[in-house]
Amino acid sequence: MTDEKKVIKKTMDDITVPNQKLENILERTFKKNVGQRYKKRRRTTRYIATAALAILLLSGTVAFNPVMANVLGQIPIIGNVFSYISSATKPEYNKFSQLATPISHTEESNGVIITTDQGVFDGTTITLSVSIQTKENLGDSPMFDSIPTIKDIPLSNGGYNLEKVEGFGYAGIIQLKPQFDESIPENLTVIWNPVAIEGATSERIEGDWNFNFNLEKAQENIQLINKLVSNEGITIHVKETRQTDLTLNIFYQQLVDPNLLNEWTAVEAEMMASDNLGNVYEVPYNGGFADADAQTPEDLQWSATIKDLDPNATKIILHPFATISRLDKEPTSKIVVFDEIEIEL
Amino acid sequence: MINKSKLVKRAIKGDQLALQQLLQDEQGKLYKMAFIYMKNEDDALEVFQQTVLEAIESIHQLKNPDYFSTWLTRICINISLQEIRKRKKVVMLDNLSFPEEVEERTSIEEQLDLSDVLYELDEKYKSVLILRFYYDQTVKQIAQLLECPEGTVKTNIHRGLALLKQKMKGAYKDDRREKSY
Repeated sequence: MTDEKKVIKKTMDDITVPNQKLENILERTFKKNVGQRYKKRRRTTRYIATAALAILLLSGTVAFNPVMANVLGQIPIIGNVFSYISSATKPEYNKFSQLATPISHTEESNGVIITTDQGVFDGTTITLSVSIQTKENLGDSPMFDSIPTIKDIPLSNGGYNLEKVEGFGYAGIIQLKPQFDESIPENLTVIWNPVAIEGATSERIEGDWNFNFNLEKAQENIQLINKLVSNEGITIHVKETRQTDLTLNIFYQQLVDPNLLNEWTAVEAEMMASDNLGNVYEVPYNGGFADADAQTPEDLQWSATIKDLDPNATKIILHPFATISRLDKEPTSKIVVFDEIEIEL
Repeated sequence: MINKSKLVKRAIKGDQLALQQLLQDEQGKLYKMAFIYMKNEDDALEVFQQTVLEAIESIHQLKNPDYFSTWLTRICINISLQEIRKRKKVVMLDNLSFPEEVEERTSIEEQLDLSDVLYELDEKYKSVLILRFYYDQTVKQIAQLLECPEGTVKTNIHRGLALLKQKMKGAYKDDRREKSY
């Protein structure tokens, strides 16, 4: 080896790789972790690192009492996945069983039947109910080798939750959050070609299931809000809401004083909500992005969704808060709370 | 154990866990590549982060799973070069200075202490030398990765090696004198 090549090799070998930091970055980037975010720059728009493509694999292990087990045993799964899931663990999906679009697309391969049961596209999120009929034990929370995609539209976020159903197999819900660049389409095509289902340990069933179906956007009532609240150099601008029979989507922007970013690296505005009847709601966001002409890279636009809004509620009260974080030196973060914003429904 | 090709196919189809595993396998290589350009840990981590994001956003566009590593390395190099270009625009004149004089070395051991000579090379030479002599890529592979003709790669390898040799022999000194005339 020549001296020059030895220098190249030694130089590269001498670079110490901070493996733990790299793994932390990977973890943070792939999974949502408020306040622990590295910045992402894009030429035109900027999608949030932590929200982008987070795969939410939630445990399906549920402890049922005997009465509940009996009730659940009476619910047929095919055609009723939303009912089953809402009765079992997620009451917020109760109305989905009545109002979601029937898909009833069944594919059988290698003795395993996968059915995409019903679906909803509310303008920000595609929610699908799905079941797996199998005698194989894939543990409590099996995983597909791939999640569905949307034709011609990239995803910014997606995830699923499968629950074990005794004597049947598994049932669950898949959520997909498309990354719309401009307008939101009136309908879209879902494509899904899983080739394997894996259990938590070594179980794996290979097959070839092919799904391709259209979903129309649900009718929505758009209401312009245009209300602002500010605190500690951060302004939350709630722009509009879009309400369907199943969801209330809230569109808002965070505006950050550039001086704040001399000390802090990242700002992430979120909210909780309550209604005039005393119900309290989580408002998980669907993802955010920054326009190319934003004043600061943290001036992000968000959408967030309430799923189980009480039909008798006439007013919703948003409780915004923001997590501001410093990531470059000693990672630290703090919460900034804002005044409430009331919205008549 | 799932092989890499299967993992890449799954990642292309939208399996984020597969992509995360692939990126974890490549993280050391990506970091070293970023570090050789950025020359400090913080900036190399920032490049690594941006590379991961770009990979997540565009993995569905990867046509040939066999080119996953090449595709990823290209993203990392491109982001590094973008960052360097951005920073060059804001370098203050006061910060520009000639390198310290380097005495001529007599043994390779002493020369190896001067490992920063590689850092001082122009980016285009740095890229080809590392890919060729550290990652054992062929000229053809490098040309595909950097999206340039094979002839350009060969020329840059030749010139890069010559420059490296020159710097290792204390050529800074002569170069500086020439410039001062």
